[in-house]
Amino acid sequence: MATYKSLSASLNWPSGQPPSSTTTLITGTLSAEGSILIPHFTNSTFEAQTPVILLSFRHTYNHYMHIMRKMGVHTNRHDLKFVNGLARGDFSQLPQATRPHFTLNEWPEFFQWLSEQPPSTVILDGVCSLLDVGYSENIVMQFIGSCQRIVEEKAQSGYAALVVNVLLDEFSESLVRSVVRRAHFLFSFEGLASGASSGVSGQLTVVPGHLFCQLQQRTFSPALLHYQVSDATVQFFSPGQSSTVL
Amino acid sequence: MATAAGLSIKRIAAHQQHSVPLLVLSETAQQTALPLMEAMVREGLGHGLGIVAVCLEQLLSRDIMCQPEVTLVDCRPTMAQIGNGSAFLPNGTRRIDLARLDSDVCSQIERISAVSGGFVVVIDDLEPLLSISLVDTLALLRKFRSVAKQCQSSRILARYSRDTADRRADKGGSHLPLVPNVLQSIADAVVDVYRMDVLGSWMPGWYSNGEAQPFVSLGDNDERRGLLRLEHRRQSGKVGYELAAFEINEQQKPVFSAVKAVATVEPLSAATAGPDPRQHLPFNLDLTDKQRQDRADVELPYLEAQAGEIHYQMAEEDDWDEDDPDDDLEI
Repeated sequence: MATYKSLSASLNWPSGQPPSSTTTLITGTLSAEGSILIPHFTNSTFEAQTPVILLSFRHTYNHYMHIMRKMGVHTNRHDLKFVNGLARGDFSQLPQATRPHFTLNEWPEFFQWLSEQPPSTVILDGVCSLLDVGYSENIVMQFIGSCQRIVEEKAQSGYAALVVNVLLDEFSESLVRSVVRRAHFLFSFEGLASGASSGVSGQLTVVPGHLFCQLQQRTFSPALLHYQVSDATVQFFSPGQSSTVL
Repeated sequence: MATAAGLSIKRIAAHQQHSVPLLVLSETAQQTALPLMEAMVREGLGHGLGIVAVCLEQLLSRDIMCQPEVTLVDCRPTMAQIGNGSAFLPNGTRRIDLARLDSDVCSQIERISAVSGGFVVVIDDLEPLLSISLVDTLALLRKFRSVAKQCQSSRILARYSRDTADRRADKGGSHLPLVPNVLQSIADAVVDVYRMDVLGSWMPGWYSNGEAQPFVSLGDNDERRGLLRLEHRRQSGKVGYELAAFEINEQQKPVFSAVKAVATVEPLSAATAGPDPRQHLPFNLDLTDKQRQDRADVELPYLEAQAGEIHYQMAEEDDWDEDDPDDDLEI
């Protein structure tokens, strides 16, 4: 199942979604991918009858569709728009099922397009790739800040939130520190300190971001969880409570 | 050790200390200073001061912005600017007219000073200004500070990130860690905010177990409490340092308390040490007084020989050199 009920229960988020007009930062490592939360946030948004805009700098549209199909999310039945940030060009010759709804060429064009969309959950996957191709941290923060500003404006007329997924390493640490200052929630995925385990895929630490104190409803509480990735879902549990141990 | 009543930070936050026209709050990714800054703003509102909120990235909390005494100087990029690409310069820094910001803030200060007893200019936060120009930002802060100094209870309150500001500021090509140093030199007080659990690492006698500290851990960005280190430069030239804990109470105001460092200074004392491993042994490892005395009285057979002179008998094949072997040393 794409919506991780155990995670929603641990965070006290009944709908699985973060509050409207918030920014959620997900960090992961090579051994513990943060992108496993993308199906969760996507499906939670679909269950609330809200559109999703997914902008990826890492993978094609097909990649995400395969994963979501495996997890039981029927993207063709919901409003999912995919923005291709992986490669520039003309993709009009692609079949409609795999054709991106927008290709990121000039950033002002994308911001204009984004501001014309209805209030949505905007997911940015692999933003640190912009650092890899040579953009400075200021420019990457400019991109994230602009998306955040647009989402905040959209949230005045409906549910809208921003989710940013970044790979955390020594090259992106400074960028992550800057994004944490603009975020309400931080989900940090990392491998187990004790090494690999058959029953536990990694560890998730969920803490507030700098802007959390400005939220009016603060029912969220920080959590340290272990998780196990299986074929069609991800199970979250307290440390030492995996099914292998029990 | 200061009691809560004697804390300088408490007097500063309650506007009872008038020699702080420029107060800078510094934070890291692990602990934000935003709750403390907003609590100080509420404290200022409670004292009848007018607030000028200079917002460069996001607005302050709704309960502050809706107050009639709060005036917004909105420097956030507009949707139109984002859409047409005019919000940012080619290098990614914000396109902010510093001269216009200066005149906007000064005109608001003039308006508020005519009706209120004083004002607080809140700059949230300094990073977009620093990324444009460190020099121009310092000039702006100095000017605002000189205006605030003329009115006894007025203050400039600014927040910045000490773990990223140096990397993102325009320092004219310098690679030196300038930002925290220069802000410290022009500010009347600098408050560094930390997580509560870092106190143990500051105390003598603390040893690391060698493991790297995680980037993210439970306790990060606690919106209710934290630790702060105050550096207060008085007009006389004296610089005072203070360590305190703060908590945001139900009224969203700051409450400060002294930090009890004594309990953590002696982590290896008998009271805090673990159980004695010699307690339940079937044999005795301690020495009696007589055994200690007998041990001290033992005469070591070769001690005198080691302490005395060495007598060497030259053999026929030895070559006696009367020169000092250290002559070639240029001492």
